[in-house]
Amino acid sequence: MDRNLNMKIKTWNVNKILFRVLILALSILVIVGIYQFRQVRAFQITQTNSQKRAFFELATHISNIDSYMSKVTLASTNYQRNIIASSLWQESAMAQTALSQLPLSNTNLDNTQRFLSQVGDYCYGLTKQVTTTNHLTPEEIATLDQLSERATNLNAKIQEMQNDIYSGKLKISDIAGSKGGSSKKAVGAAQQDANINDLSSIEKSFSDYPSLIYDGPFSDHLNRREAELIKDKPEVSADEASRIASKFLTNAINKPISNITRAGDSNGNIGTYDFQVNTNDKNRQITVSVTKKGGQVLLVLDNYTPSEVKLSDSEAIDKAKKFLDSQGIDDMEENYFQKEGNTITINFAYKQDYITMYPDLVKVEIALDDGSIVGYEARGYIMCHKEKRDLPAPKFSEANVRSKVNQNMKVSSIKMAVIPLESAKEILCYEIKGNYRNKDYLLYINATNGNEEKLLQLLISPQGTLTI
Amino acid sequence: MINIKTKYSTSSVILVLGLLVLFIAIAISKISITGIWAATPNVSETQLLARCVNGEARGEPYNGQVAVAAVILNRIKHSSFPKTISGIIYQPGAFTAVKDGQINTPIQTSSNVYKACAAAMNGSDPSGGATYYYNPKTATNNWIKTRPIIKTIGNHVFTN
Repeated sequence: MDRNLNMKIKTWNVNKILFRVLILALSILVIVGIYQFRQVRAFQITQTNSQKRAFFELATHISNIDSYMSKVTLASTNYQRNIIASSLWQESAMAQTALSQLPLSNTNLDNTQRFLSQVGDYCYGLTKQVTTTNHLTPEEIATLDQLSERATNLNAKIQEMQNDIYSGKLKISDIAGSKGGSSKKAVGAAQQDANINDLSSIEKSFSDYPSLIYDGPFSDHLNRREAELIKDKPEVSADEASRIASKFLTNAINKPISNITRAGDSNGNIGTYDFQVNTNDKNRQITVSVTKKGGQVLLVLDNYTPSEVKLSDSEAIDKAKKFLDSQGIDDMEENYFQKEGNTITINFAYKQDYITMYPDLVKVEIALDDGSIVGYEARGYIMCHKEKRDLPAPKFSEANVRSKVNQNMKVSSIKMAVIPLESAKEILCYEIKGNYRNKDYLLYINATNGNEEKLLQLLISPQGTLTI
Repeated sequence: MINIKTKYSTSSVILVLGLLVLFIAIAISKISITGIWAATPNVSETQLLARCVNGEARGEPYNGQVAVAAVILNRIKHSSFPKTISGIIYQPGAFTAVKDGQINTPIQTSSNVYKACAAAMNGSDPSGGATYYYNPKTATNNWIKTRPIIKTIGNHVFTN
């Protein structure tokens, strides 16, 4: 009996120890838990503050846009109108930045974004255009009035939402969808449905927002361009396209193609048949896209990375040029190149007589070990190429142009070129290459009215040339 | 008083167990915090693009990765999106790789993903001008499924 008692007491004491250990563990967990909770709260507050800031900034800029839009048609001189238009451009950019910082849930704010984009862009276009007369055309006034009305509606709605946030009726997390709501723009993962929030009512008011067409990069006409090279050509069959792709690639890589399989179609701005090409290298992935109309090769993607460099740049450029000639893409002139990972990508532009046609671009990537073509991109060429463009006669000579240029620039060469503006409009220019304050530049002077259309800085390095 | 002879003293047992619990708690908290705070040095645009594409399209075929990069670049030209690569990538809710911190994995310039992004920056666009993509097996967003399909590559469907 004595022994039993000893055992019981022993167990009881061990239990007491365990009990104390557990209490200690629990209290440590509680402390850590409280600390964590406080940290999370602090993060939440910081995040809510950022969202509120983004929203209130958006409201301020939209209010400013509304005010400036109401003044832009009132101004009767270029001087004042340009000041207002510049301010509008700035406000629109800032409004878009603020909007893009709001985590949007299930609503689609595409139209609202588009409106803000186009308001700024259109007004910027105005500052460029209204230089000769002080007057706006009736179309311009009508467009501006329409934009102004939209701005006023948008402003009214945003102010209402802002008041609701102040009064507590609306919480910023409702707008921001931070209850783990899904985002329309979120991709690639499972999403939950979120509640509709007030920003969707703003978007609804833009649902009949018509497409705006003007001379700027965000004009809606850019979404509807036709591919110039192939628009009148007949459609080829998939089999024919397969043969075209096969032949192209055999010429390109000098290696046996084990087979070529169809990999679906692309129904984008240029309809294509897409193919996957297999060689005896299992890791090499090659895809080829051939346009449905006209059977032109649009794109070749190849993940081959050479392990050594055996060709010089000029040898590679030579090979690329020969390849283009062999494919019937004639009169292409090499412009700039870029080297990356033992391959060189060369930009070629079409040359009509002595004038370089920059819109007609083909990019050829050459492997620097064996000179094979490991990349090909001809979107520019297919979208824009014309065998013969009707060009206006230049209004002044090369000598005249030299005198128009900043006299502090050391001019090294002048030639003629057609460049695309951001709105895809094509302009005949003099291209002047020169050095100014130890930096290299390209100047494009409009050959018919002398406007300085574009100024590009050239960043030249052994890896290639970049223009910015 | 009854003396208990145990192999280890009471206080040391308590200490060890207590420390164990503490370490576990800290480990759990650190896993969630450093995912958001992993340091990112200054990166070029191609590197940022590559990090995003890696997070979004890691197992996809080469042209699928070029296509994802092209979608991001197509958004620059589109009036409904921010006008810079970083603005587009970091737009809240736009990419899950950004949301869960996968974007912070540095990418070697010799990797396939980097090469894919360089190709996209040169103008290659196998997505056909798309500004959205989704994985039909996992996406539950109904709006995006109503959009006309431009192209399917691997697990991704590309639309506008």
